[in-house]
Amino acid sequence: MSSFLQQLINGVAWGSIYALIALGYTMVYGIIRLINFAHGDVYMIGAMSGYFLARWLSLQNGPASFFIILPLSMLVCALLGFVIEKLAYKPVRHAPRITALITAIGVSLFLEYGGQLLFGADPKFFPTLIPTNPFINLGGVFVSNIQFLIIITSLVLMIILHWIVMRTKMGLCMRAVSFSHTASALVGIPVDRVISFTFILGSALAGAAGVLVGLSNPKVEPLMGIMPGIKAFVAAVLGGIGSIPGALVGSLILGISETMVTAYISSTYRDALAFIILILILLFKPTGLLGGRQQTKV
Amino acid sequence: MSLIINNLHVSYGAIKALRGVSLHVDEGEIVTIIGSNGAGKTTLVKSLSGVIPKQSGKITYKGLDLGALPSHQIVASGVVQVPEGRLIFQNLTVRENLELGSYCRKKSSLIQSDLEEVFNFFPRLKERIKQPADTLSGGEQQMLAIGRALMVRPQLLLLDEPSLGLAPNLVQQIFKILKAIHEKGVSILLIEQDAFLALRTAARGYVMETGKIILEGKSGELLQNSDVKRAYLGV
Repeated sequence: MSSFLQQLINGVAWGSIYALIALGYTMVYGIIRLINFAHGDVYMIGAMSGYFLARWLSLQNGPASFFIILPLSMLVCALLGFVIEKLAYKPVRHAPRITALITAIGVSLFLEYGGQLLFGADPKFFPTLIPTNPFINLGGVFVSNIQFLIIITSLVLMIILHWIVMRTKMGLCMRAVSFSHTASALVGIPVDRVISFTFILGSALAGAAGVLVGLSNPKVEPLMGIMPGIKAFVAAVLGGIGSIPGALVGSLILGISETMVTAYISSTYRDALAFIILILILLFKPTGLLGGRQQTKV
Repeated sequence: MSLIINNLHVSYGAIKALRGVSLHVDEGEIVTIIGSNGAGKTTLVKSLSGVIPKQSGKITYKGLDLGALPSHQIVASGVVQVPEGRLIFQNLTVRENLELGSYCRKKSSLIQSDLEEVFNFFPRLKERIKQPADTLSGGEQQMLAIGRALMVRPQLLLLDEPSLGLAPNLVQQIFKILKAIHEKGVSILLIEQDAFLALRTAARGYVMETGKIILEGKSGELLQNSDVKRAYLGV
């Protein structure tokens, strides 16, 4: 039993990381109906910039350094997301959707192999910003301080996101634009600015995920974004693409099932699981668990 | 003259939708454009709002070159469209729909008084304020679409088929409110298929056919014109 609970906690921690990435997928899809396949690579840039910032500022060992690195990496990714949208996606916005999709794959490959050129293909070791300690002991079930930090940081970021989307003027505009670009423009909403803002928001969350992963899995390299990117995409589809709560639910389900498969069946099947889920959901409920017309789509 | 359209051409690919349309709306006027399906009426308002690009020609409003502005800046200049099919935000509440109408303005104190004014015109919307917009009836959605446009504080309101899909008594009600809005000093350009209703509401009218203005004049004259009678009034 305690081993099951332990796996559950590990799964929630993984699921939180997926959720931070999946939110960016789902928000961008909600607003311009584009599967931004470069999103996983933005997460990689988040981890990379965390690595380089930590080295450059020679920060180590202490929560203070984490709280400096996190917002800085989010900022780098936000900027990257903004630039990607302006340079790559905006020019093809009125072209057929397949054009934008292919552009997204191009941007993804550019970041992956440009990353190899720039950073080198060899894995780098994320500096220990915070040494791992068992933090909470619930009758034999341990939550490490890193897991605790991952879960809490994700939770806080998601609460902030929820607040932005549901309570601010910009959030209201995001919901309006997700419904119709034309109607939004006709009431005076600067649609381009809202789209930029959505990319900034989604990319910053992916950047946060990159740094959080660096804490627990310190190996970072330019191709590290491919798998988590696909997994987060599956999570977003599972929850219902376009739905913010859906992205969260789908990510937690995926994160928990993956750790369970690793623990009780075999880690070989871990990666296959995401694709099995993707195939099943596309066969039986393509709108996802929480997707559909009545969902708040952003 | 506040709105001047001069020799406007618009195409969808190889299909010419507007072939040299010229018209004007003076300050404080209600002007209507009538014509059958496919005459180019909706294309005209869409290009006025910057939703579709024009090929050539000039659109100015109070000296401002609207053709060079993106949609949201056209709205900010006071030219506001209530689109055909209403296009209200189905996923948002009535209040949120109305609040979006005031996006351009910064002072939130004014927004409350504007809301009150919209509720004066449309008391029904106040009863429905917290409801999601997709639960409204067709008539209520049209009220919301007009109310949302009023929240922008328009100087010139472009109405595209406000009677579309509404029961006759609702149409009467909406048109009564449009007159009340006009009396508050808002100019109106009314696109309408119901030629009789449109010409009784407006002071002047234009008749459009296959992308061109074929006739213009005072509403009274157009109502008496034999061609108009035959083609659009069914008499």
